[in-house]
Amino acid sequence: MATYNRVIRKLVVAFGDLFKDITLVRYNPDETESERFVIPITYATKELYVQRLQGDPDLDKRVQMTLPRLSYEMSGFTYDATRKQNTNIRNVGVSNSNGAIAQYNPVPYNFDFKLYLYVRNIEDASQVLEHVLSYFTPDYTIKLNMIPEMGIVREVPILLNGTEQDIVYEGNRDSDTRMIIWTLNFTAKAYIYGSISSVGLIKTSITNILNDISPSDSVILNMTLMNGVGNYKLGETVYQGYNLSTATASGEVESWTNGRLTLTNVSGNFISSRPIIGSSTNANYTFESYQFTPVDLAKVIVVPNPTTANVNDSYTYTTIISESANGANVVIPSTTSYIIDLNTENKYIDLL
Amino acid sequence: MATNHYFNLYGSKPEQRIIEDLIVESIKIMGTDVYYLPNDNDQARDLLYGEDPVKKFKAAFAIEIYPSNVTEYSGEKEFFSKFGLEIRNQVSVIMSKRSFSHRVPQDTFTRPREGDLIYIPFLNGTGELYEIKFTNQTKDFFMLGRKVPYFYELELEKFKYSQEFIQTGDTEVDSIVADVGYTLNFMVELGGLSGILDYSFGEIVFQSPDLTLANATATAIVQSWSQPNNILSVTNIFGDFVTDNLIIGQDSNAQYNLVYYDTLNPNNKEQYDNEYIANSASIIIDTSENNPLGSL
Repeated sequence: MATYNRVIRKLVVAFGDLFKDITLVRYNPDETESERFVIPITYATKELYVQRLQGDPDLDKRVQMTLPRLSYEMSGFTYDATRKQNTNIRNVGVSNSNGAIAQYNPVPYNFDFKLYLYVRNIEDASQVLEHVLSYFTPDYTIKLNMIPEMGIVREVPILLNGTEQDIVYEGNRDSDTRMIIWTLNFTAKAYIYGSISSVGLIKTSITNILNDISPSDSVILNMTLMNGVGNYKLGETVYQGYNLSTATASGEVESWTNGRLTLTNVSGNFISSRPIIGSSTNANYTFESYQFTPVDLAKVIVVPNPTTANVNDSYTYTTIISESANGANVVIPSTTSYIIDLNTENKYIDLL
Repeated sequence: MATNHYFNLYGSKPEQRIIEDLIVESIKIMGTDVYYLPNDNDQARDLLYGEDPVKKFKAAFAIEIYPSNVTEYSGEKEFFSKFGLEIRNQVSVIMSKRSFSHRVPQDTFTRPREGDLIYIPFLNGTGELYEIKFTNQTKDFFMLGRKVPYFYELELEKFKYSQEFIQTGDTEVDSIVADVGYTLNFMVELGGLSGILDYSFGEIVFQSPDLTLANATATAIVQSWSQPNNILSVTNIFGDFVTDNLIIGQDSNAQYNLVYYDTLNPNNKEQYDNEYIANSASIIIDTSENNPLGSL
């Protein structure tokens, strides 16, 4: 489905809205008011036939045109790297149906606008310019409801970059009457938004809390007998590495029975692909799996209340904590290669 | 004297008058009637910028002209620009000096002045308003040695209307303002004691705390009055008209209460985007803050 949030159209409308009710007051020489009127404004780049249909619908226009008048156009836009945000961050909103919608961070762009002012009198232009320019310091910020579905309301600064005048007043007697056109260049610092997608909600959190392995705990290694020689001796120090002094992992033999090596005082990380060498017996085998005895201390389950709560709803939590003294004998199967990591191997957090 | 004094080709006043008679008669036979609208407010001219922001055209003098363009307008004609449709028609017309001096008060307007207007009723079927951009007095090149011109050739450009006052008393000419000027529709209801009267075309209407024009806080000129619908169309607005206040006609003494009007939706044939933009923006822009650019 095409991504179209009508952001550009909204910016064009919002920019024009700033100048839709500029009132010009004409003054007599004694500076009393003569008359006042709202200056008409149109979007500049209309189709020619639309210009004719709007400008002279009955083909009976009795003057050349009506002045003063304003017109404007969006002349282009460029990427603004200075306002770049993390692309992976998603904003979340409420879906019309049950659930949530999400949209990645928008892309910053600078939108260039040109505002044209066509007047008959220099005095008229001076008044309009003084009025408009005083509000741009050099920016004026408007607040736009950019993506209503997501509830995104953005403050968009509009910068006045500069002004240019084009007064054609020289020529021979066949020349047209004097023409005064001012061009005001603006930049609106806005964003282009991507597509909106539906996302699931995490409604249940389960946390298992297990005990931690300490060096004094025992670890049982199931050795691969066909790939080794010798017998480990009770109390012997075993290690992995070139020698004991530079071992990457070591432990003390607690028992050696039927290919099961039980170690205590383990330090370092034993790797299944490397042999475990006995420091005095020189026995060496690799292991194919290992066992330890973690104790399931507690389980914490958290669910929202009510369980039908949606994004932006008001809800509380229901937390169920269950404690247990029963340990579970966990066997870690051998796949290709794994590491006994005393810091992380025994901790689990399940998110459903 | 070097020229032959038996021939007087450059000083015979009777012959000059014959030529002038023939020119005037030719224009009367072959020409058409137009209106000459002089600017009555040139004392308000801005001498620094050399312009007239508050031009007022209060008289229309009927006078005959002969159009020099016989087949087509000159100029760029229909021109589509960033400001919409501009009709850059230009024409040249011949106006005899004698007719001008007969039709137009010579104490104030001794010649057709640049910046004054010519209304040509037959052009485009509905009439067109032109501005004199140049008065050429040498077109006849001093025929028979006459020092003053027999006629003027006026270079005309279709008028760029800039909300000037046009109140000549001629209904056709004055109705131009209602077509192209900033015209507001006031919705009114019976209010004052004289509510049953009708506003009249071209009169001044006003709002005033003491019901007198002298202390008016807002004035305008009536362009039309639709009694069944209670809609009053006005142009050339001074001040802010306030709802729930009487609008009084200076001449008619009609008095109605102002109920509603929309400054962004003038009653003009030409369509602008002000109201469309306002309506579209109302659902986009956070309306908790006002737009300060729109108020003076």
